[in-house]
Amino acid sequence: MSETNDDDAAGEARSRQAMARALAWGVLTLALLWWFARSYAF
Amino acid sequence: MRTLDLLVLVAFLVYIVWDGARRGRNVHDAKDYLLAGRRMRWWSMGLSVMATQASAITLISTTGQGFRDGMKFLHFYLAVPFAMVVLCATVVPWFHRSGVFTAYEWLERRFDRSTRLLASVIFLVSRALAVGTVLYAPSVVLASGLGIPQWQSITAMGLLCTLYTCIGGATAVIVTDAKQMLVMMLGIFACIGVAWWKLPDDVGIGGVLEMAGASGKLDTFHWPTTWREALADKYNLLSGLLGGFFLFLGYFGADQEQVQRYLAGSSVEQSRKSLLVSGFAKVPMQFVILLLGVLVWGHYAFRPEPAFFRAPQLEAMLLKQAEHGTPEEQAEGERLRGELSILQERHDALQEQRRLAAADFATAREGGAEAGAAVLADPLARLRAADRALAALRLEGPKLLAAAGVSKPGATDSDYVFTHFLRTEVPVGLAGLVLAAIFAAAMSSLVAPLNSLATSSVLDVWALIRRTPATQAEVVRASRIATLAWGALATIAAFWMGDIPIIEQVNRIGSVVYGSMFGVFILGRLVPRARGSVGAWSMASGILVVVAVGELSKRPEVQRDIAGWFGAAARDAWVPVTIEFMWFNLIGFAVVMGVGWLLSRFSAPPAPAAQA
Repeated sequence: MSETNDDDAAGEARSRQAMARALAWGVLTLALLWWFARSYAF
Repeated sequence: MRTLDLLVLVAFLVYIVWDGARRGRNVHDAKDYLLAGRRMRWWSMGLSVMATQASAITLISTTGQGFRDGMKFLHFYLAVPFAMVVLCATVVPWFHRSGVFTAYEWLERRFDRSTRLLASVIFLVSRALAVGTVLYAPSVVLASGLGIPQWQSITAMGLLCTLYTCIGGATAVIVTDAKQMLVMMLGIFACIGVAWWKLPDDVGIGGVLEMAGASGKLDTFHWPTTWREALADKYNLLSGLLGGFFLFLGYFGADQEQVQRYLAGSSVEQSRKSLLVSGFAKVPMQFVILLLGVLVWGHYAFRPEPAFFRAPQLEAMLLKQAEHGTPEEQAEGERLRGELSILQERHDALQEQRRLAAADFATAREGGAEAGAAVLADPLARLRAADRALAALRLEGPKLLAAAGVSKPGATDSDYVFTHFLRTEVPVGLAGLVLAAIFAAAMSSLVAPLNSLATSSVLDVWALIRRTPATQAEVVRASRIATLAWGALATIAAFWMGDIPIIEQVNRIGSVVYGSMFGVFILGRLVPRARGSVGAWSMASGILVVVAVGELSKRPEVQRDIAGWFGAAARDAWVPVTIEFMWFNLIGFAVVMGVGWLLSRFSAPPAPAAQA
């Protein structure tokens, strides 16, 4: 039982890390697209 | 069709059907058939989630959008990473830990049976409407590119997909989706390679991007200048980040087509990671597909293109009419041939202006001029002017097609750019791979709705109206029969699909219901007093308001009458206003939350055990 709980806790921590990275990626994407649009504006 | 291309395509189709059907050996109970035994790993589910969303429409119509309007369509997907994170924190653990088979089962546990039934019927109806469109899209490729009648391609695609989904269930869907997604990416990169390779040496991809930027095709970051523009323009930062955010929350969080993919995960972590695959990869993938459209546009800036991309189809039809038609039809055909000839001449003159401007740009660039140099400004300005005139002229083509009865009024020509490029520019063998990619996209986005429509119709409707509980074997048998029935319905519906801008049609159907459907899940979690039929009433209110707003948006005179009740000043300041479908999701969500909260005020406080 405790093994399962440890697995759950570790999985939860890994999930939170992946979610934080996805959020950071979303913001970075916006910054990259801003740079792209600005670089090729007429 | 060339033999090698045909061989590549047929080998791919045979492999997919075999690979999907053999998964049926592992089906022992309903969990195996409907949720792949809850054994799936995040990467296969993640690819399946992406493949389900990316249809043949994505390949064909999005490249057309890149060609016609440039990359502004990318705004539509900007909210995907943020929506995925919110879903990972909310519905993914709620669904997974409650052990439900469908998202709507969770609604019955939290609200009541009427809420579950309403949500599942809305899903069944809206998805059934969309599934015909999804099947119709690849017939565009076959009819236009391979010379096969549309009915043959629709029937073949419908039969193959229904066959392996029926036998293999959810495992077949997820495993084949993942492989199809990889083939799809391979096909896209192959096309980009061809488009890049065929560009003049002195231009290259950098030169095309400068030309496209000068023609206003690389606006990937557009902030609306007025609130009217934010509401009326589909593709800007506000509509993408706000409207798109609620669209994707609803699509990935409340549409059984997607929920069923990640419910197959072996743990909450696996399911969460599968959604985050889209969070990371969706925007780059759409960027690449739109870039392909822009490269194709750059390719045709230097080479001849038809006045419109269905012109060969119109010419063939008029030729047939001249040989076999009645005297009246022959006279009408003669008139249309004359108009087509004039249109082609006007097009050729403008295209020559654009080609000369592009050639001058290339020469100046080869002479050492860098981006932004004054010597490049003149050819780029001429290029932009000629390109705009060509874009306006290209609108005449669909009118001729409609007059000839080839397509319905309002059809866009851009959906045919990709097939024209594929047929005329992509080398033999590679074209077979790209065709396989189109079929992969079509099949992956067809089998997931078939699987989820069968699941929801059996578990959310059939099992509820039975007097006795169904056994595992009965559920599997009923699900297989339902898959066959939905496959037949999708095939029949595809025959009736109009010749309309297909990608927007699919998104439009979803936007009417997604915001409201997702809203009721959040309502159930945030407002403990909202119980029983409050869920159904709130959801119905949200959808009705969205339908009303959509209708009102199309009727400025009614808007003026209503605004007139508040005085002339209000009428002049606020109307007419157009609200694009992206915003429907936010409106539906807000109405559900508001109505649900109000109705819950009239309910008694919940007993602690009644809370989900």
